Amino acid sequence: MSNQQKRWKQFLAAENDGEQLEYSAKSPIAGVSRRTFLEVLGYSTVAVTLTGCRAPEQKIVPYLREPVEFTPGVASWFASTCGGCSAACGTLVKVRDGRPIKLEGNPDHPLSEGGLCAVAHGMIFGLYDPDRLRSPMRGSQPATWEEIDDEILGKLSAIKKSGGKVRILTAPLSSPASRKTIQTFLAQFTDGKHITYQPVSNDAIRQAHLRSHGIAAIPQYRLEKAKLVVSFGADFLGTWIMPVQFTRGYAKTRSLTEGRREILRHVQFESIMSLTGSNADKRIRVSPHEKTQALLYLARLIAPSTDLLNAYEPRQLSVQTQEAVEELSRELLSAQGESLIVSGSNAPDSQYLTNFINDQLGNYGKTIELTPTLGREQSSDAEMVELVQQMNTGEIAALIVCGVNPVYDYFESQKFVDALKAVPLRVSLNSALDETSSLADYVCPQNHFLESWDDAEAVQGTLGINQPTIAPLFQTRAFQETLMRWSGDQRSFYEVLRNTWREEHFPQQNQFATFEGFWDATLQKGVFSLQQPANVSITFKPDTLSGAIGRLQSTSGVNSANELDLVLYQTTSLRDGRFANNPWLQELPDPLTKITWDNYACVSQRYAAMNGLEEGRVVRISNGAATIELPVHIQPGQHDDVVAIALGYGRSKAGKAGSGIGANAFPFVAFVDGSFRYSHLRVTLVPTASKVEFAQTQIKDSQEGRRLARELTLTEYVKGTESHHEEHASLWSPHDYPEHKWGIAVDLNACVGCNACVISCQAENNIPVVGKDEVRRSRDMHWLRVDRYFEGDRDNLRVNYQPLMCAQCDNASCESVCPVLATVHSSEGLNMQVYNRCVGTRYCENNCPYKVRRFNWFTYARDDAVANLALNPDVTVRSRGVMEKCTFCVQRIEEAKINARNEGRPINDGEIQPACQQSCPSQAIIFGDLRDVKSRVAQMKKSGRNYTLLDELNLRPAVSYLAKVRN
Amino acid sequence: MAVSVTQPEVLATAKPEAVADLLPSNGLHPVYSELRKPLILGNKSNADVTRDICQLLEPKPGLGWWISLSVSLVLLIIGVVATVHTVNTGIGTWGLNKTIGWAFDITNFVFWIGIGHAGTFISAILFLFNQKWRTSVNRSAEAMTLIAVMCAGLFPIIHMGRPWLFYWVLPYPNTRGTLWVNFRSPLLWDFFAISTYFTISAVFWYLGLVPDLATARDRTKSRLRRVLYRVMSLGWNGSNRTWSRYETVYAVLAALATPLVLSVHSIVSFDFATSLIPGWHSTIFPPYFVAGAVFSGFAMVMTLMILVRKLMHLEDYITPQHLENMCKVALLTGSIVGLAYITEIFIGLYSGNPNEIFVIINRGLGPYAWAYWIMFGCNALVSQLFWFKKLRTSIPAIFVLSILINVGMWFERFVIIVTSLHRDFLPSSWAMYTPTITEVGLLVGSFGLFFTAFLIFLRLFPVISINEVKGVLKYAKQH
Repeated sequence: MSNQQKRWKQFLAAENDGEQLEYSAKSPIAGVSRRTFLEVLGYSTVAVTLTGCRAPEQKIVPYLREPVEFTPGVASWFASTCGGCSAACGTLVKVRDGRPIKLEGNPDHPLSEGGLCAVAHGMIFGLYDPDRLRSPMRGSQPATWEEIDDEILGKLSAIKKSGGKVRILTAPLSSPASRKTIQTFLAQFTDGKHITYQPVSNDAIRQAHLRSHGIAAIPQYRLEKAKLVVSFGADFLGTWIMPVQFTRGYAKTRSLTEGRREILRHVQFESIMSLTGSNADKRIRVSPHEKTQALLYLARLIAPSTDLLNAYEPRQLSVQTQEAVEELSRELLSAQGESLIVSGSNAPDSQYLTNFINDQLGNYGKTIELTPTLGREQSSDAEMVELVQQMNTGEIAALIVCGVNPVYDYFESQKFVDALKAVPLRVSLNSALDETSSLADYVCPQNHFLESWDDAEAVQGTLGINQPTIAPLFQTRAFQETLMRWSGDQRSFYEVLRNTWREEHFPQQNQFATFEGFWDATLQKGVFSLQQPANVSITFKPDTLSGAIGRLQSTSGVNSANELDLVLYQTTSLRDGRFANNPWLQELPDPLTKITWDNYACVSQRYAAMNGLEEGRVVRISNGAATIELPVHIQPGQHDDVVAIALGYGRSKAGKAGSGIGANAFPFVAFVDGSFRYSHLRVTLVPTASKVEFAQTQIKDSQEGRRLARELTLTEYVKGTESHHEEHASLWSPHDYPEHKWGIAVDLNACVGCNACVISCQAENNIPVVGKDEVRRSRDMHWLRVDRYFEGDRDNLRVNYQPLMCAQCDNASCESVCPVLATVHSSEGLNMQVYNRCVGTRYCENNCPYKVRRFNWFTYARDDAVANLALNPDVTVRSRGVMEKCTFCVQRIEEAKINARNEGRPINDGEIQPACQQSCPSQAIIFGDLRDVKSRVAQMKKSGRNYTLLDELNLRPAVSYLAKVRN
Repeated sequence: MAVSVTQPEVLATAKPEAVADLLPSNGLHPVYSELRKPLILGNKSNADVTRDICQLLEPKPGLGWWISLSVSLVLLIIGVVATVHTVNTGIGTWGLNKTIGWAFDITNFVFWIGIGHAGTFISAILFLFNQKWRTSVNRSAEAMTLIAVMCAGLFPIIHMGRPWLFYWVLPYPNTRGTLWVNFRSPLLWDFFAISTYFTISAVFWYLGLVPDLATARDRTKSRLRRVLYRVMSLGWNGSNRTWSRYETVYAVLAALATPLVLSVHSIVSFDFATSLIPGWHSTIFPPYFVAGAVFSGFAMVMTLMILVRKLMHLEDYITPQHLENMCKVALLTGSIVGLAYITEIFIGLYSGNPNEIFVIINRGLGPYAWAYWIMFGCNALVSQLFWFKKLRTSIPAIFVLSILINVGMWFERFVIIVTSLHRDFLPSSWAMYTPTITEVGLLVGSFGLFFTAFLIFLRLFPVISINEVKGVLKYAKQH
């Protein structure tokens, strides 16, 4: 043993000696070798060079002379009018550094009263749509305006000489000045005519009123004056005529604030599930045929003395529907002059009968004002069909299409395409190279409405002004100016507009002595209300009643087992397909189905069960002439004999975002008795082998018995419910809020689920669009979402909506779990997300019971320089890997605080309005300071209907809800 | 030498009474009993042990090792590709969504942390309980622990949205003024718990290695290895003083490491237990997680040891008796886990809280019920099979069962994380989770890393604690 050990020690010693020797040879004392010198030289050169690296310097040069009314970093606001649809809601356009970045509702507008719909909020994206045409086109080649003008003027003068027919095809225009410009242009020709075309038409209301009251116009429906509204399939809160105004009126008369005990009752007969129907107090599920029969039966019960109706027997109505109609007739008779019947049908007979019932109930002059609204100068559906026939026979010498896209949305598209080929001069004034423009000889792109002057008179006497908020981004020209050039008028449309106002509107008012004063005031306010003309009492003309009743009685329902009744409807986001290239709207979940980026064939649960259809099964829908393939969506609340398909999808040339999304259902539209029909269409439905997965933002329909979106009946409410909010004990010491404590109250009784807040929030907060696949993966980014729950059985379905934003909890579960303090509580009660501190553990997302946090899974596309102009410079664009969420629009809070401090005053209640609140048409969202007991939000939270979501968790959220009340 | 080889054979074949007679005259160790089966078979002498273990390091590795390493490297490369893809593109490459913020990432993390429990349990707790059989397995179990904790440690970094800023989780002095970490966050506690555990485990493992490294140093002919072992053996000279200090420190470290075995997984369980998600918010999580961790750790040790004894021909050192002992630990901890499952169901259903009741029902009958029943079957039921001695002593059976337990324990974490998150308070936000190929790649890659590192360990360090095994040899007790 010992021997071994000794040897070992020697071995080690020898080894150590060797090492020391080696080491000393390497020691620096031995002098620097050439190699070492070069190494040191190399390293130090690199080190010196690297320290010199930094971002290139860029100088910010201030204005030498600052433009008037322009402060960098401070927004300017312009009162204007939304050009999204012809309802012409008042808007305030927020312009930052010369760029319009947000539309808000104009509270001074007498009709929309500060409300805006989701589409209006999306219009900002439309302005910066990268697919807009950037210059005029000759065929598919870009050209200059001079060339185009010369050529077209030449061709038009030839037509003038030959006396050829010139037609201008536009959407219904609510602008008197534009209509006048068109008339001026057309006056040059021996046969010039302005035809308006509505792909989704409400012409029947005009036709019916022409028959019943001698006025071919849509009257003004005053929901705020009604106590009982009965809708036969009219989606007046979603897409029908003027949804924002109707929602405003509806919310007003359903409001329970200020101690009101009586609210509007809403009964809806419908075959598909609409946004409006989902809000009804009583919803009667009928087939389109039954709907007509119910209307007839109601007419008989309301007007028993009318001989024509006495013979009518409601044989085709189910017992429940019959009872419902009978009960309704009693209710209506006791609410004469305070009720309102509306019908969404485009059959003039149905509308005529609706007018008859309204007349019998004495609603004209009260809840219906015959002040003409839209459609005074509108063409009928028949005129459009006639135009296509004329085009086909080669009668039309020139067709100028402006703002409509019949190649896509005309019911006989191929016929229109063929007819178009027979027209010698085809000009499109559309702003993009869409389906129609791409077949035109010339495309003369018009400005976006945010780049143009215009006016609007959606309701007679309410004059809106549309002013430009940015110079045209591209080589585009207002369509009015284009037409003026072609009539030899070199003025700007601005001059024409002012002249019109000077000549026509200025004399009608007596408030202002000078035109300039009148003009400036109107421009500042965005709208001017003329004295309402006396409500002309026009008596109902029953001449055509017997014919209408006879025709309506003879309609029949689906009789074959294979057949289904097709109902075509519009979604609240895409409407008739005009906005298909707007990714915000494409990604906006449908209020009811919660599906994005697609259309689908809705069938009832029973139909699906009986025919073995499952969600997403692709079916072939055919009426013999047209066939499309769409996935099935099983829609609770829909009638069993009905398949419903949204229009506005299946665009082939919408642009990058909108082309090829869904399928086009316009070919199913029928033209019957002089009007386009969107229901009573017989189709067959055949399943195919394929199946798709929807991009749905909400998969679960029911509340699972959890009392999340609460509701109570009016009786219960009147009986009195005291706030049963308990204060739970907490281990944490309460936060100290020295100045403010921000909070929100959401009145679920007011909210109709229209989704306007979602897009408003998206525009305000630079929320990215993620696309269909990502939504399928449940990665939608909306900071504010509207939860929708179905309860009850299919005949008696209750729908509840619940907008959900970050609740800014006092005991926030997200704050305690973040390891890096990237989410912290502010001294004003806000739960602040610090993007540049966030490392992205997603623990906060997991621990948030409301699931309002959104994670940046990728670097979302911000590569389009034009689309990026829509970004709000006050809100950080988040990078990949960080969490984000609702901030209560902290940028607006800060702005108001700065303003108040500069002016040395406290912040007024209502001064700060987050984007969601600002343009809510039903004013369901109230933001304010909870420390101020007099604030509106604090008052609302005292209501007996007030409750906090998931109260048992004791998170003490700053957002609370006021339960819905059903009447 | 020759005598020491033959003598035990005589003993082993002798009749018990004859042996009893022989005992005093043979000068056997006072605690030596023939009733106790020898822990090491093959009548090894001290020299045999040294030779057997050290020679594993010396020749060129065999074909089996190379094949294993190649497979592991392939898996590792898959993991590297998946990691690079994730870091380059974003967490969007995974199947997570607005409702489910964690899934494979944290499942893998907790799984590997759990695996990392057996090593320290064997080396520290069993050491304190004077369980001699631990000596054959403690070295590799500890190595497994270290590697598993390394695998685990990667996931919290990779799972971050901005992993390049992971160091922000550390409370280090910085120039950001008052910006500091959040001491209320269990993720921060995780960081402390895991780094402490890793440090102590590494030190403990290394300290245990020192005498063996010295042995290897003295034997090796490779110059590179000699340098490595010389540096690492810290000038070990085998003197009595050295041994005395070594054993004192080892015992102290064992005592220090013991609470960590319990604390690490308790703290990992706080990630879930302190949150408010039904299915996470539960007070039984700490003991349940610790038991589960030891359970899964032992299962992994068994899987590895069965492979190692075949691959490295260590049948004499790692005997069915060792495996049986480990099976018993697995039986105990598996039963605790099973009890925890049942308790969880009971608490959930008895709570009267609709959200809790829902979670329990959703786990057993919801869309991820398959995962739940894999978990329940592989953990609570499979572990009960160890009541049967036949299964406990059959190496193929143990191998299969231990893998099943590993699968089951991975699914336990998956079930806890995903089924709780995917349907929580608001039905409107309910969602489903499907892993992507990238996430599978990361899981596979973590196994690649684990086995690659373990195979390198096998070639680099004495796989069995030479100095400790020598202490439990029959030979040692006889002399």
